[in-house]
Amino acid sequence: MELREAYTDFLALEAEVVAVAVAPITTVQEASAVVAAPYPMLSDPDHRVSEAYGVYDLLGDGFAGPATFVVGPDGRVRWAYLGADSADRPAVGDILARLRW
Amino acid sequence: MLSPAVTMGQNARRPWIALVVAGGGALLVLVLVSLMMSRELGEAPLPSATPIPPTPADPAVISVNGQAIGRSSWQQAVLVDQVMSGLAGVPAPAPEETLERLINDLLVLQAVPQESPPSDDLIDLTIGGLTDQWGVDDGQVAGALEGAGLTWEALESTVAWMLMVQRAQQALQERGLSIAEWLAEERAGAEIVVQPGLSDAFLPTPAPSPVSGATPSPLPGLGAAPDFTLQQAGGGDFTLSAQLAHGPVVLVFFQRCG
Repeated sequence: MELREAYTDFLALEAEVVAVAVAPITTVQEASAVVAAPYPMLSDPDHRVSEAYGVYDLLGDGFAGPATFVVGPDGRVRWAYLGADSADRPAVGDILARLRW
Repeated sequence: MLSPAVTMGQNARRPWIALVVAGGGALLVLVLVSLMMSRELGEAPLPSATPIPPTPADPAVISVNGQAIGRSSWQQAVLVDQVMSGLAGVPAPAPEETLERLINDLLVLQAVPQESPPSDDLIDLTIGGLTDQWGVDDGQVAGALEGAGLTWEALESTVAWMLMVQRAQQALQERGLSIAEWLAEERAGAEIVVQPGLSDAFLPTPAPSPVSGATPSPLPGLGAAPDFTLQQAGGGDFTLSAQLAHGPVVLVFFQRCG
């Protein structure tokens, strides 16, 4: 995916990318092996974190909604994007731009 | 990247102003030269002759030495810049560039506060010079403004702001200061604070969920990111706050894993 290809661009900005999925760790482990994502993939089995960010079950499927958050080093959410469906993701360039300014 | 206290570049372009300099008429030339100088110094429009204090309905996006710029002020300045650039046939500056100029403007006006706004006659003359240079009439300008959801008054207040900034810059120059050097020094020492939610000002509006029946929990306001610790594939835990000590974090929630 695009994020993976641009991962070094994120690292160059001293930013980390993490993927969060509502799934048990074993499932995330398996998926991670296939995806071979260079960034951490996290398991949110009880959807506690997804709920804290207000994105759990947004599409009524029991998973996290397709959302992207940019969190600044100060712990504040700098930018957020909520997709209408799983294919609706912000362009990587847009995310990088949010990290630059 | 920005953290709460930031320093940004001092020079931002404003290409549409450059098209102004060839205007005719003695007084107009004076105005136009002033505008050209402003452009070189990186000045910016704001849709009010005086900065509008943020309100709960118009939260601050950034503050400069404690003086805040409201979100709607910034957005409107961006739109005015876009309209003017469009009329001038030059690329519009990015929203961040407009914000850069607003910061410079505030620094200049903080150093040389302006007691009175420019006269209506001067504002009208300046707008007339701009439209002449662009080769458009008032109706076309009004149409472009309307297309961006702006009023003629927004243009007038932007021009008024520009003229005030130019006056302040001129006063600094009369003190023998180089504005570019002065700005560089001021920005290095200024307290420039980005408010949470800055980027949200131009956040694309998410489309509604195509699935009904579920009751989605609302997105949290763009404030503090909830801290968490989760297991990560490959072993070990990931703690947001620990990672933030090293830099920003992009959280990507996936509907389905893999």
